[in-house]
Amino acid sequence: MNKILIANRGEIAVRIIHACREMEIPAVVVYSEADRESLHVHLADEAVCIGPPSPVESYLNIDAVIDAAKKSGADTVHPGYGFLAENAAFAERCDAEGLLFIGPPPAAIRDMGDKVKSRAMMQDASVPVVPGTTGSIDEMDRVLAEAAEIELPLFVKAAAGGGGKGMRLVTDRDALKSTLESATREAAAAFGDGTVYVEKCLEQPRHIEFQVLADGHGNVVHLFERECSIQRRHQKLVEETPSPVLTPEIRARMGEAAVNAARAVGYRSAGTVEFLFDRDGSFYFLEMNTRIQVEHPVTEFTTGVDLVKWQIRIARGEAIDFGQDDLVQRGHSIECRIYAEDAENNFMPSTGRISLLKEPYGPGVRNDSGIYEGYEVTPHYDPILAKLVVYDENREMARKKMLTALENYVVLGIRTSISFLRDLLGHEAFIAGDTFTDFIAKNMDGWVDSSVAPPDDVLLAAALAEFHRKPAATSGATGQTAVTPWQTVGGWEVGSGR
Amino acid sequence: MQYDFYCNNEIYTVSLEKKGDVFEATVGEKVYSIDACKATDRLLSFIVDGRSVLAHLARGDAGWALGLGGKQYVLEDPVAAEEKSAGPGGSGGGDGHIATPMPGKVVEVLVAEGDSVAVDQPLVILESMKMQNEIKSDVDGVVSRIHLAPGALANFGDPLIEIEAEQD
Repeated sequence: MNKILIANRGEIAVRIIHACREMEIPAVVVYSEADRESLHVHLADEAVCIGPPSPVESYLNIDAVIDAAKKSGADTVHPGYGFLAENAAFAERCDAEGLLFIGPPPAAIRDMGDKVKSRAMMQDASVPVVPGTTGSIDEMDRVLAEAAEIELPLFVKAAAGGGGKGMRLVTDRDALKSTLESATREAAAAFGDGTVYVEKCLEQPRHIEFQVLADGHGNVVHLFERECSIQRRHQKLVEETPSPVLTPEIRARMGEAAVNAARAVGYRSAGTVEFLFDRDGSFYFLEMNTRIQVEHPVTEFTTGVDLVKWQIRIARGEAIDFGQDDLVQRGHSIECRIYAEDAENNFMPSTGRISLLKEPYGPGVRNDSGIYEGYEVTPHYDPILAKLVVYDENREMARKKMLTALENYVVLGIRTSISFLRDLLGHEAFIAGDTFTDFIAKNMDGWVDSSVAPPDDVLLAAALAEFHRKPAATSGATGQTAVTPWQTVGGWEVGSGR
Repeated sequence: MQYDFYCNNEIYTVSLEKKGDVFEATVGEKVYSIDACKATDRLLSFIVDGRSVLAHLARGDAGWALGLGGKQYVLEDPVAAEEKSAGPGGSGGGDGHIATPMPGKVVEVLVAEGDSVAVDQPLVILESMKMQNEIKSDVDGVVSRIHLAPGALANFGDPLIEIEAEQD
């Protein structure tokens, strides 16, 4: 391994650069024309421009990424998360071009990307899946017979649907037959495929995932869970470990299921097995993420294992040098994702130049960031700016540490999720550990920043600032560095036409 | 000295007077005594009525962005704020040309040509990096043209929908 090409951007590219530095491996990054001033470009040893801002033409452009690897003399590729990380064709192409891909074998990516196939594979491996039926409506009697075994309420789902489309809730068993029939008609009209199936509807589930690490020598371990239930629009906002609800017994069973899932697909590298966790303590395989996960730092804090460095070590053939019994979950870790967004305005992304940045620090505080003061947040990519991660002895201590760290996190010039996160972490339902996937809809709906009217302290500070302002800044000829405090609002307000 | 700040549609006035080493400030009816004020162009620390206050600040063309107690505030110069709000636009402030505020995929178009729409009514669901965003109308009016169908990939600034603004 001579040189690693990082096929990503933002905070995860920076995270991987850190690992490369520590392992004394040169790091090359790629960047789009919109990312010339991005932090990863300036921290890397080398950087290659791979195309226009549009992800399809740059970070998702396999030819351009492969070309950048060859030009720079990199022999290894780390895909990060998102973009090409779970693209089996990209992993195959790396193999074909003689590049070492840091991740699982392409077949494992492909199998886990196919929801129907992975479900069948998990059943074969005795990993529990959400109880449900398969088969077409032609076999109505069989579908009804199978559905009779599943506890109410049920979902009738279209195989070709997704995102809630073609999905119907059934709470009365007598209505199942007619619902199946109408759902079939509707699915045929909407998707050109009338295949429907029945699945148990989990009420208020939690989203709990297990980190696994597998090497090329047959060793597979799990590094315990992450509780990721706090999401909005299927995007996670707060993650923590341990989960407030797992007992040691359920944790052991879920960990074993995660290891079995990884073995069943011939997994290698770091991966995450996601489960839905029901109120009654049952858990069901949801999907496997065949990459490093955004929220990996909480696991690193509580296990002391550096997952990114292990991805690199496993890729170059090393064997995991610890066993399952050597792993201990110690203390509690919470991660908050700092997004460039307006939580008051339907979480719309916010762009513009960061006019002031003060990042928190202190014992047990980690800030994985992709930004710097003066950096301009563009509209082209995921709005994640940074991940604030804390560690302490127990959940309540970690929660208070997070609140303090958020209070000391100052980002001016764009809107961020910081204020929303502070109110979320302070919510009694969060304190109680009532973290279900409907948490935000239930507890934070219609949230408004309580700072609508500025307190007197703020007005006093502004007056003092005005008093001490240097005359040069008042002339208006402030040049290129001048920014309006809400520069972004004009560009981002919906329908502004620019 | 008197300073006016514009914030959330309100004008706030602060009077500040330097009296030797301390300041006397008035906000509304309240009078404050400020001591030990230490100011740089990005940080401000002072003692007000015995309490220590720390503020981070950045000056823009039209006002101050200020971070205090874990929250962010924007205090604009009243003149600049006035100019901004006096800009052109129909009822609701927009011009009816709805463009994509971010690159993404059109998931759903919620209106049809000829539909009457109101300000803030969702028009299109645009998916960008796994996020579904509602694109809302900026005027009251009638949809005159839909540029992109569900499934279409939109670049930043591509026209999405045209709305004929209602005449006042």
